[in-house]
Amino acid sequence: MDLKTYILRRLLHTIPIIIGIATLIFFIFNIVGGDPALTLLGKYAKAKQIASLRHEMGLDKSLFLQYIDLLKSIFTFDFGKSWHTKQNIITSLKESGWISFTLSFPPFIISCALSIIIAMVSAFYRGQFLDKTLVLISIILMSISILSYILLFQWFFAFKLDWFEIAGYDKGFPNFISYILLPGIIIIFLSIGSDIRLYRTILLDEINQDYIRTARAKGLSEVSVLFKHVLKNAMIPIVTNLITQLPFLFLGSLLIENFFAIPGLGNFIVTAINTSDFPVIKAVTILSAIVFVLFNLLTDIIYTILDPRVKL
Amino acid sequence: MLSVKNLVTTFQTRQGSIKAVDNISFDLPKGSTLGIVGESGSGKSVTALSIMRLIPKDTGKILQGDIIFNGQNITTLTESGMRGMRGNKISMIFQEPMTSLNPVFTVGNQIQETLILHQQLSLQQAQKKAIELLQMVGIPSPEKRIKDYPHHLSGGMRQRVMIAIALACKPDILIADEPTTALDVTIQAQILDLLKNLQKELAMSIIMITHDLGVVAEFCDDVAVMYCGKIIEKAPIHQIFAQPQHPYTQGLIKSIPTFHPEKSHEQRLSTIPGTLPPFHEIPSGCSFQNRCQYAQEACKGLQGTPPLALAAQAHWAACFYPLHPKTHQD
Amino acid sequence: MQHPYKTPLWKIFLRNILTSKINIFALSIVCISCLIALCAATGILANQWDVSISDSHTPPSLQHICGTDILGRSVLDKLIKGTEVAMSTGFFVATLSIIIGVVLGVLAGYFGGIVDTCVVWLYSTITSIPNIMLLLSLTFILGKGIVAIYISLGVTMWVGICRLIRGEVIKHKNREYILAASAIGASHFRKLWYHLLPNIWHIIIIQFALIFQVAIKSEVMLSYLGLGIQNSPSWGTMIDEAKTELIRGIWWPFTFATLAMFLIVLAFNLLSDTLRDTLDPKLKKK
Repeated sequence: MDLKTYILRRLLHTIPIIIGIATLIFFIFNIVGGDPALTLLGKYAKAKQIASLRHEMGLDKSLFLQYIDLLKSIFTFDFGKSWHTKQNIITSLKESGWISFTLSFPPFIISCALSIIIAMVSAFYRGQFLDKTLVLISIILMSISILSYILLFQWFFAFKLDWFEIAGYDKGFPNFISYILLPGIIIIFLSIGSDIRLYRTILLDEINQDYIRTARAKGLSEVSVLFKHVLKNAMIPIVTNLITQLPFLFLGSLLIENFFAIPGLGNFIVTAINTSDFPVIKAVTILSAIVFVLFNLLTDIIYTILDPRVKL
Repeated sequence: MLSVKNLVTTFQTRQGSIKAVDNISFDLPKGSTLGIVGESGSGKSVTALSIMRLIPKDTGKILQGDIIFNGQNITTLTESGMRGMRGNKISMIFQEPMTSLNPVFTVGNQIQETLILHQQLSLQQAQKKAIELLQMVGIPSPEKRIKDYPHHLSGGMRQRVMIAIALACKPDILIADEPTTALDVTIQAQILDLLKNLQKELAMSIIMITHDLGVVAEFCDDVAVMYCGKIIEKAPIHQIFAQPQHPYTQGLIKSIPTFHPEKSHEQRLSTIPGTLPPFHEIPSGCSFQNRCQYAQEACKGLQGTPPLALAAQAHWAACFYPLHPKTHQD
Repeated sequence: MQHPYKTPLWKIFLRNILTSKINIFALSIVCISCLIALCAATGILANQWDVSISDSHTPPSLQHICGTDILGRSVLDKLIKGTEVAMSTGFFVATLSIIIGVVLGVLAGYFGGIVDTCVVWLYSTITSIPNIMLLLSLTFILGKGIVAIYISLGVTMWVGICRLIRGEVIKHKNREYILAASAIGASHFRKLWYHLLPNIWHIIIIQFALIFQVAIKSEVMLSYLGLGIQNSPSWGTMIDEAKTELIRGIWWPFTFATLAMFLIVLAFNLLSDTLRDTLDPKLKKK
């Protein structure tokens, strides 16, 4: 089988998943969720008002037709307008998703690089004091609540020391940079602990392999064993893991964006929740799921290219 | 060439410290082959790793003893000095050919690595040498194979590649740790033949670690039998098969299946009762006492551990009651 | 087939715990938290948490060790009540997701075929939806309240354990000892209960500790989004309230709530590490 057939076959496999996502979302919102028109207008709304709103949302159709509407929107990429802002959802998502990406991508790269280096150090000194200390520090970093990080860092670095902007955003390069510095640092702190532990486990898995013993028996130094033989093998799971994380960069961090008033996708979602904006939540959920499925596919393809053992 | 004196290697476990190799000594003359035989867990592989100084640092260490190689004590060498030995003067091949090669580098790359490291060859020179080496170990069309990844090759081919890597720098000593155990019987014979021929060609000494007395009989000049981290018998090959001194060795030899069609219905294959005791439960006195049909009071620790003593000419055994004792006067 | 474990595992686990000071610390934190939570649930402790005992925002003093909040209520009592909320969230969420995960995982792995296809399809679908979006959708739909939080967290978190259990069951299903049990005519139930369960319970315990702390952490996020626990103080709401308090110098509710949550999450993280070292047969070989 060549790569093309493989990709085609994997694409076909994603179809039941995408239908599954649509069904699940439909089940949650249209069946369990009750009547959104009632939620939106409150319990004192007049019957006529409710009826017209229901018509406007397409809720007066049968459940089957509503389901077809949902499936159609997936393939046409048309999720309609937000109830709250009355703007086209896709346009708003593109704009805010890009802002989220510019906020989360640099910390993502920095956190990766830092945690791989630290994990290498930890793996080099495995079982020794430095390794144990690094593991303990990463567990500590993982155990602090995200909200505590945000509040503490904002209060200390922005409020007390006045090093960064307290909150806010300004569109356009390079104005926005000063606003994303502190949120970026917080994102690094949030992810680095679990990253270090993950990469350390991956590296140690490799270090215990037979071919590493062979490399040592050749007379290679521990440093070149680690950087050549261990790292090249470990890069396969590491790169795979990194690619699966990419879609989440567009989604951004809900709390951080909302807290620092950065108009990214995360903030957009929080607003939608606070205003009971069903179509937006539905659209974001479905779209992010689809992006995730596609990135998974991409990961598998890259995996087959990276690992010479994988035969198609 | 190589002489190991009173080597003790310990490991830290949750039950405390254990002696995986307990006070062993042997000599390996130039060009000769020593077989180290024992059940799994008897300390054979640890002996090999001790000579390579590849004992995992976090749990194990060489507690005492000397390993003298060409007049130099390698237990006191610096780590970088030792790296100059490994793969260069002393090489090792392992039991698992399927997993001992790095899956993400080509075969050629892995052979060249040793050459570039120890002989400072350029990439082109190393490549040329790698092809020669593959030819030497009997791999067909080597100029194509050097671009292959290990998973393209069969187990026997991979073991040949391992041998090529180990012999790249013409080492003085090759340690072969169960090199044929994971292979088919026909491939086993091919690999052993290859090693024998290369030994003559390169005039190297081999330490052959195995649990298979058949391999030893075919391949070695001398044999050391290990049990619970100790050498319990050491002798030239013909002597050990003709007149084993230690009951354990006798048991091992008796448990080799033989083929006598006319007698098969009346003769059952003999076995050694029991199993190797765990390291923290080794009895005082002779460690084999619980499985030995000849065990007597003296074996149970009152007279200490039986020392490795001369039982016949050039034949050492660690037993109070050797089976075929002969003194020098005979 | 030899049984995988020789020494009783709880003995090894206890030895691993007791030989390390950090683990003793973690275990004591968990035990004390359980005790506090039980006392708070039965009304022995902090039953007067909603009564104003002093002025608004009194800093910590000998009288009020952790100070008071905006309504003059004792922060210490709120912390204790919050312990109850956190521990019950962790417990119920972990239990729920483990029940779903184990049942589906075992069914899929053991029976295979169409059951397996359905379960795999279900969890591939659920993992495709970003956790946070699924969680938000569910809490959004199920409404506010503690049970809604248990359910939405539980329904979001079973996937990982289901996948692990399924893999492990498939691995063991074709081993000799299960085939031997089939050969002597053991029932499905007997095979699952006596032969498969001993081989998968280490996954269950490790995952329980992991999900427990993730659930506690997620509660804070929901509180921030206004989807958290109502009518009862939780660490999440306490930290959330601090966003206006901290700048005015009212540091105590934030600090103590953060510390409380940090300690319990840290303890569970450390314990799940030790559990993994003890129980995972793959790691034991090394």
